[in-house]
Amino acid sequence: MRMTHGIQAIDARYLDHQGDQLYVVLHGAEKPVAQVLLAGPFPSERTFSYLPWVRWARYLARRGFQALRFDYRACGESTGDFRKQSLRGWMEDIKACIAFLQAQTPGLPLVLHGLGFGGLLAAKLFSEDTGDALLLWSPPNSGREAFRGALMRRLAIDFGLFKAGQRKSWKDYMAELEQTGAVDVEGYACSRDLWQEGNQFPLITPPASGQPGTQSELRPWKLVNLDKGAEPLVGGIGQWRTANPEGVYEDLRLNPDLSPLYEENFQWMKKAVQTIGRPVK
Amino acid sequence: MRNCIQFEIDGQWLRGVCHEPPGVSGDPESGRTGVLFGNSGWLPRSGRGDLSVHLADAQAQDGYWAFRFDMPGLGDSDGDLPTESWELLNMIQVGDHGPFTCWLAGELKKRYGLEKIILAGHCGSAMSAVYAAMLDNSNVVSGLILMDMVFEAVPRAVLANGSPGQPAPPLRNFFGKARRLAKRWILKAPGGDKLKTLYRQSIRASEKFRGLDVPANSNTKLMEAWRRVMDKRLPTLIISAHHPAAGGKFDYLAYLKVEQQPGVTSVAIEGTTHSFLEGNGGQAVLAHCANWLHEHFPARSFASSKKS
Repeated sequence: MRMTHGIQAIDARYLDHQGDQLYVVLHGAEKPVAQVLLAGPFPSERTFSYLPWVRWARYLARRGFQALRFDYRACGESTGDFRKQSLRGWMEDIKACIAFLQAQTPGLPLVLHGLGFGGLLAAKLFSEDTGDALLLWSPPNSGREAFRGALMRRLAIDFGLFKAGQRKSWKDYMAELEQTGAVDVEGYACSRDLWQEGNQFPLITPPASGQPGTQSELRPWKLVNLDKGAEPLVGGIGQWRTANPEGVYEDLRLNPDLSPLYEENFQWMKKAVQTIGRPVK
Repeated sequence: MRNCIQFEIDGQWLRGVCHEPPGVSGDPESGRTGVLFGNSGWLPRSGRGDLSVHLADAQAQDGYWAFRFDMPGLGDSDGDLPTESWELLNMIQVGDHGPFTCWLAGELKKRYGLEKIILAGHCGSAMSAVYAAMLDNSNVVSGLILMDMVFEAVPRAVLANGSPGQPAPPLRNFFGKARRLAKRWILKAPGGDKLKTLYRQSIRASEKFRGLDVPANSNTKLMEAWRRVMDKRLPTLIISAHHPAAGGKFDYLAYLKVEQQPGVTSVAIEGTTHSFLEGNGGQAVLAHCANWLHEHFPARSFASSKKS
């Protein structure tokens, strides 16, 4: 499934992975200088950040950074049973994607880049010595915060759609989790095990970039908290508007110009790749 | 089993996924009916909560070939998109995705040797399915599954404000903005069902007074396309979401007399919303689609498993 579009080669395919099919899209660069693994947000936010995420991958590829994005197992285009998923399992997905990416152009520096929940997983892998640089966009402080955030956004939608007495409360969702062993968050059945795993899954960031005598001296990293200007990429924005079609017309920017954000982060990546293995000044 | 597929049209690649029925590889006798899904509005082809993926998986299990494609600029497909959501919605509402859907249906039928293909869609892709069926002069399309199709168009005020031209006089601009803010507050107010119903009824009363058969922001182009498609007498399943907060909304399906049209099955799912995520709406959609497909387009593998 390889085709060229301008100078870009876009290769969408499935990887056989632990009995499931993992959907990956490789945005190839003409003369790649580095590779970027894009770990996307929590499944319930994927649909809303998809367009700028794809455009970011294209942006990178056009500038010589071969980019790979993918869907976690049981989410979007990848197969699997969502109830059986775990954070460790999704980290295995990222590792499989990295292996595929590195097989395309061996030896190139690898940047791990995570958006929201994906940042949590990317940071964990980075702490385990995977990748040469790390870029995080608005990662949650823990798995617990990621799940709670997704459920809170669901509650906000319920609040707008249903009257008091008809809508579920936080307690109702928690009771559902206890009684059925899973709670439905935007169509994804998060299991009790996944929820509990999230409670013990903190965001691990390296010491401040460039701190002498630390590993981050040689492996640059950066955390960016996205603001409203990056609207479709920010978790939750857009969900409410999609849930309420009468309200979408006037205030949802579908495809805003995010090139300043892209350019700023691309420049950081470019610099990071140049400094890999050298002390950061 | 899922496979990535793509087609080039007008220099841009449309990307999608094929859900292959199990055990049909190399068996020309089984699974000769296909179902094609597009995008719900601007969402990727998986749909909200992956509803389209679940539908396609279930249909493949039942012996149908199911395909999901991203329209130009959306999801993984090539192409440009407008900046504002209403610009894209307007494009979809006037039928811009219809020719792509129609063309894809024909290509899939050829590539996979399908006997029949059904166009399925939620919201925006339901509209595109209607336009595609209207454009289909070669009898490629055999049936339609339309999920919560919206007959309202982007309000003219939004279209006018977004287009270049003479700015409105300051006073008119002020009242226009105030009216829009009041409308947004009423329609977004949590749980204010009675207020919403009252608002819609008052608007409708004023439209009737002005002699309008249908609300002023009706998508008349889509309604006309619908009438022309109904003349083709295609088997059609219409699934609507009935939400308590929808009180006072104009009933387009009643106005178009869909239940009296030959071949049309119309079902409503109570207590869910437009996305079908709430109130077990997704499961109900799966069940309605499966029953309707089995009744109107029995898949060979499904029929043979039933016999055995």
